[in-house]
Amino acid sequence: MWARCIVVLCLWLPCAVAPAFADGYYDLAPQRIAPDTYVFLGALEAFDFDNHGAVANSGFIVTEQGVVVIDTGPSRLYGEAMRAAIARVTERPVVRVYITHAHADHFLGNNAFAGVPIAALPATAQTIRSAGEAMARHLYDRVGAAMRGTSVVVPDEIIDRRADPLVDYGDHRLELIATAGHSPADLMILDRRTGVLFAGDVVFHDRAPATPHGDFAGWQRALTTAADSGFRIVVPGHGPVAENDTPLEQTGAYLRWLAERLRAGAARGDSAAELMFEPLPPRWAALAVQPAEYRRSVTYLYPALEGATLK
Amino acid sequence: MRAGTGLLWLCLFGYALGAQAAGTASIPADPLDSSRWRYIVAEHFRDARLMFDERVQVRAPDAVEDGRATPVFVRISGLDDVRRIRVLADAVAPGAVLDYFPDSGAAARDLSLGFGLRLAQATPLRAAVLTGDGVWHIGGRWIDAQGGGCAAPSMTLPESAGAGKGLAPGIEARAWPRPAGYQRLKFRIQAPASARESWPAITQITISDSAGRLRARLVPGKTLDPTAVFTLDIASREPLHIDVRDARGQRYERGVGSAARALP
Repeated sequence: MWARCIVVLCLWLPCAVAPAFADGYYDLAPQRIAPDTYVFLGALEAFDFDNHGAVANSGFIVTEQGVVVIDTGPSRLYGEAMRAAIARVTERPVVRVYITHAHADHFLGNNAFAGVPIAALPATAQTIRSAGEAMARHLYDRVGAAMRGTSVVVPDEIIDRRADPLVDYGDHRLELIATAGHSPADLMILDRRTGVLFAGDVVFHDRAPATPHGDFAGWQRALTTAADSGFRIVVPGHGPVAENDTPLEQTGAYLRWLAERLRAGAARGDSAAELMFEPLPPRWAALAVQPAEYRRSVTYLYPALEGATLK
Repeated sequence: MRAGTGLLWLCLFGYALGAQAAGTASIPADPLDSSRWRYIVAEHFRDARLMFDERVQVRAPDAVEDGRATPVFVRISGLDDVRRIRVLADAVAPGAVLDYFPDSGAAARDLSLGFGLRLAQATPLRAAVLTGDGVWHIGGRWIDAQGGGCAAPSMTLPESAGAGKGLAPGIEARAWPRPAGYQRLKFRIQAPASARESWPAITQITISDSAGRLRARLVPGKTLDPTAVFTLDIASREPLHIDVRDARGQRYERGVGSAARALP
């Protein structure tokens, strides 16, 4: 704990005298995964002082009408690093930002995109409005100085779920796919020209799914929707890009296993912190951020199941 | 006046240092390396025999996720003649998180205790188990302040507002048969949602069997989440009776049917 405080102080002191130091926080190198399509891969870790909160994937598509950005990362500095990296790829302006869902590692870079319309599903905008400040504070506590200058920018363009889900940016026709399950609103974006599916946190890959706001049934439906979308390349919210169904199947199988583990624990009478320390099967222990993510899942999801066994 | 007060404090401080120094020699080094360890010893284990013991396992998340309810599980295996289990969180001292007096007559070699904590700061969490020979056996782990990940912020409930609404809580419970003639008892004290903020503190929970024999007694401290599920393993499969008393002198009771009959 004290070590951490000292680290914060050490980070802050040079910042105060040398603003350029801030550029060192995020070393964002866009990876081209399809024509006109790039991703920034996040660390397969929980938030900490070393990764500066850059744990989720973000990306962008360079179209004739300008650049479309998908998610803005955990901080203003991350968003600015994205813009700088985009500017090294194309001179075209950013014309729209899409936010996949209202978790801190996906939208807190919004204030680096002043003047650009930021679009999100209604529940995503609502959650950012009501809980965004608390999420930002939480992230400040976890990652420290890399968060400086970050403020909550609520998406200003609400995606109407009844409207035409197809939006053309030049010859890139994007399909906006509204789902829920990882969180109360999960937007996926399929580029019909390239077949790239930006799946947000509906899909995890080689990294344990984060489930604090998860709804298992809805999440499985969202995975089916993703599988049926006809994608050729999937960009998970966390983990490496894939050209097959593997990340979808992995996420679905993990969630089925997790739901059954929790159900069986409640039926046996396990206590929450007891179930948390049950060993994981090798397949799921091998995912990144385990067993921490499994333990978080128990913390958030088990009380309701456990409570339902009492009368 | 100020100088006088200062001198008084200096004297007290000196006295405290002296008192600390006197006890320091026999204090075993803390495997959790807590800055508060010697104060914990001074408060709870002065002149007592202490040992850190792997037979006392404390299980809890690595970090607080939801400040309102951090689940904790204590497992004691292979210790004979357990008289008392005292759960301590260094950062929320003084006072214990929870005192558990198990059925001292039973040859209880294996005991389990599950509960929830309201915790907003990083702290070592310890279980100290007093056996009949007067030795405290101590196990524990650190809980970090906040979890990381793709998550919501921690939210911690404010302190109880005090004035009650006089709504009687109910007790939800169930028992599961366990090996070797044990049963696992779980229960939760349920207040109407509107009353939770202003609920009087629970002062004591007793568990007795149908013959009236006391099987367990719990004395909660301030940081215990009184609405969380309590888990206890009881060395009997008889029907049990739960008796809860709160700070306003109210008493709530309920019976829990025999775990043996609950076998499928």
